[in-house]
Amino acid sequence: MSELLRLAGVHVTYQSSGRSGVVRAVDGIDLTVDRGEVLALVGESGCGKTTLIRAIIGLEPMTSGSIVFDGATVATGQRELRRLRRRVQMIFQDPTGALNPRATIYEAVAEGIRIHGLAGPEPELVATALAQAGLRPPERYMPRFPHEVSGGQRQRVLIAGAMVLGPQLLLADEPVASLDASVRGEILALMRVLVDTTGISIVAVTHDLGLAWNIADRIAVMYLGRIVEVGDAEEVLADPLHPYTKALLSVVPEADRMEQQILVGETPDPANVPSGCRFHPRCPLVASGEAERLGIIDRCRSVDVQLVASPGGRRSVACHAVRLPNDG
Amino acid sequence: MTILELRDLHVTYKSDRGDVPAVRGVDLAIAAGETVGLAGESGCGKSTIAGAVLRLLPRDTIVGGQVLLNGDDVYELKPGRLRAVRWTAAAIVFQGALHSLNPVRRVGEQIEEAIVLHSDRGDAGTHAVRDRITGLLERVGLRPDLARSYPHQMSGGQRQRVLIALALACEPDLLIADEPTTALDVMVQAQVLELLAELQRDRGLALLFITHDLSVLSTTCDRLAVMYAGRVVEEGRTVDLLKTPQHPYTRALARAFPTIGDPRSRMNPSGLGGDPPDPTHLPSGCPFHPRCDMAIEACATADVLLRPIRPDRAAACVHVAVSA
Ligand SMILES: Nc1ncnc2c1ncn2[C@@H]1O[C@H](COP(=O)(O)OP(=O)(O)OP(=O)(O)O)[C@@H](O)[C@H]1O
Ligand SMILES: Nc1ncnc2c1ncn2[C@@H]1O[C@H](COP(=O)(O)OP(=O)(O)OP(=O)(O)O)[C@@H](O)[C@H]1O
Ligand SMILES: [Mg+2]
Ligand SMILES: [Mg+2]
Repeated sequence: MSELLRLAGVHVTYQSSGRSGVVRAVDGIDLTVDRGEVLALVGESGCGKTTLIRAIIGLEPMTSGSIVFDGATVATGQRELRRLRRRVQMIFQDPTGALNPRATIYEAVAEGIRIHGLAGPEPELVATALAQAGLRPPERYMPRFPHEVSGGQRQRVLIAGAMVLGPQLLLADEPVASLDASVRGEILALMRVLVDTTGISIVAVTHDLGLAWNIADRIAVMYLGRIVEVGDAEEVLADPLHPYTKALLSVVPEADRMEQQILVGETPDPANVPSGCRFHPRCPLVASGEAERLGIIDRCRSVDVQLVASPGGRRSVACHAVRLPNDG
Repeated sequence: MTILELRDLHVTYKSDRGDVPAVRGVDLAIAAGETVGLAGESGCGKSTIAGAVLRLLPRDTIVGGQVLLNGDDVYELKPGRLRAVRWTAAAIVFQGALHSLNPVRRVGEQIEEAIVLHSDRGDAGTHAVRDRITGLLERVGLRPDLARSYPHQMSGGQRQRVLIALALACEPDLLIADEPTTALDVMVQAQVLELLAELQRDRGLALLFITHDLSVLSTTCDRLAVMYAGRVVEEGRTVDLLKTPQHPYTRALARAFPTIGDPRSRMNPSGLGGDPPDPTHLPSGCPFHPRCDMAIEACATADVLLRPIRPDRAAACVHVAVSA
């Protein structure tokens, strides 16, 4: 599979008001997305997921780092960003605010066509996109207003609005978090079908590991502005290597579950990134004395740990305690 | 001690399209220290029940039946008593309220306002109130210095915790949490659920936990009530109900959240076809029958009410055998 997107050393900082110093919301991200894959980007609230995908489409300026999309480095000029935003579409975190209540569904989907001056007969493009998003027959939905359709259908409208531009990459921020359990499965199925039929890539930002199990090819786990583990979804979920990934999996609510590792301690604060491994103040390996027994505790406390790839390159982990399996 | 009791609650909204019967006969009781989960998909009437408890529905809404809060009928209370009851007897963490925080005021000030306006815990700016703000923020797992932040400087999860702190500002007996963890990641969710459990143990807080996410309810609630089209269609003790769901709707809901590692759901998300019913045009018979994979002819004509199966267990389905 060929590479569509490559992020290298991406940093995004905010100036914090009230607090001292800068907020290192995205703090050195290396990540690739292949063509035709679903990548689930998971991690705690505030770890920088939204900031990262906003940076990908230039909505947040990078402090440093580079983004290569479809073989070309992304420049930051207004014109280039405009062109990029047609090929990279974003579905925002909160769908309730995302649709103008006074615009019909037709207008909502046509808006992108007008903004980007897309060639072609508008009504047909809109109809195709609505049908593609599962709103069939499209004519029935076009004249309706957002409040006249269900929450799941509104999410389909947003997906149609993104797909109408024929993007190569869809950035979906919590695409099903606000949806019903019953509708959730249908939207996830739609996303998977879009990937399998059009070859588009999807980065799905989520805190829902079940989503990753349901539709993702790969999974990237983010902690405090960094990726700490990335690999094939099935492998990461079946055999998590990073202690943070393990903790995340342990708190997935399931009727018969393993023992929970609820991480306590300070809520991670990107304005005060801990020294050494940024996870060490909350790390169960440190708390249990395991890191001490392994003789790595000093490194955990003082050496910032980088992502290390397995020989085959399918799995990367950033942890002093982890030896990667040989998949080469 | 029973904190909240709903007796045959009916709620009908008035709208341009005519009457909207959103809640159609719900009985529910919550004791101190108990967590009851209310599940069901969008539009089934969950938030309407929350609003009905504190009389927060539009003025022209028709409410039938009774809502008893600490034994008092909420709909008989004088305006002064009603104001006192809100916040101190029961408080609501509203659904989707992440944007209800005032964007131009620091969150600490907003918590302060709730404390000062709704309790007798002191005046703005005093040490007592400031300590209380710090205590509330710590209790919901936020750094106290975040009191100085504006809502837009916080992540979605951080804002949600501020809202829970707000609801706790006046130490209510009953907390109604409407989709309180839906916007949160699993770790914060686990923390918030633990926090709510703690509040219950230590203060005997009663909790009505509203969400469409059965998996969250599975680990937190003593009892569950599953709603469909304005009615409870199945209820029971949590473990019992999830292990042997009797109503086909409960079964579909339970399947929607995959068990990680289960090969049947890998690359195979499971949903429930069709749309939730429109309360103004309910299907005849059992309102679930058009989407039900077990429907028989009788389901299209005969409406089925909750049937007791055994003590603490009931379901509204024609396939359920009534206990002797
Ligand atoms: N405009 C801003 N000014 C200062 N800090 C900010 C700003 N926007 C975000 N932050 C901080 O940057 C960090 C990352 O925020 P971001 O919204 O990317 O998190 P997230 O992973 O998407 O979280 P969630 O899952 O809650 O949506 C947070 O600590 C947040 O408080
Ligand atoms: N003010 C109102 N006027 C008319 N109808 C209303 C009003 N508020 C809610 N409804 C309708 O009443 C029904 C129940 O709504 P309610 O908000 O209680 O559902 P819910 O179970 O909380 O759904 P969700 O999971 O989407 O929050 C819905 O059909 C809704 O459209
Ligand atoms: Mg976000
Ligand atoms: Mg609701």
